[in-house]
Amino acid sequence: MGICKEIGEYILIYEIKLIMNMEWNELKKYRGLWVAVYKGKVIASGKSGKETLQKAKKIYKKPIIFQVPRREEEVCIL
Amino acid sequence: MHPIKIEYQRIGNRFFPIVDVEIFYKDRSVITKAYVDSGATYSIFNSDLADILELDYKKGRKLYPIGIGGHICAYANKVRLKIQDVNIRCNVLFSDEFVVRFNLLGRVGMFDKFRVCFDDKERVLYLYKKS
Repeated sequence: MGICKEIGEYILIYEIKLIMNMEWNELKKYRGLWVAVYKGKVIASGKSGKETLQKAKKIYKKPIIFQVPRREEEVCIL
Repeated sequence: MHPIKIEYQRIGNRFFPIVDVEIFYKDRSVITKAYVDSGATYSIFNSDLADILELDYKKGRKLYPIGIGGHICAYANKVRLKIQDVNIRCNVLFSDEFVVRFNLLGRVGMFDKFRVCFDDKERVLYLYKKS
């Protein structure tokens, strides 16, 4: 309760929106794969992190890389 | 101290508290996404990320973290995490048995550096830096 009250009292000075806040419609094409993202766009994908990063580095040196969950994995994350 | 406000990420039809995290090992680093999991003690990352970092993660301490679905084999290694502009040196786990496609950010390390508030209704994660 204390934390929530504090949030109400704060005026948020800055808000960081994740680059990741890209459209799910774009990401879902890559279910089960690794993707590399730069400026909210998928610039490479692959079956392993290393492969994906190598492809992506031709476009941008330091993308964000992660795996896109499969349909069954998104249902319940414990 | 004003909080960092991070909007939940949509995955399918649900929204999750996912943050960008940079993992450093020696002179290498990789930026990835991780699900902030207040129920997890340790952070756990897919072993592909250790490969990218050229971290021989299997030299780390072998552990068998237990979850609802049983246990997996994982290895604890000390790395540096960077979340927003906060650096965190801590042990994290790497596992090639961790098949779920989410890295998890657990309490060790992260929750020492941030007071964390999940606002599921607003779909916002608030991170308060601890002094």
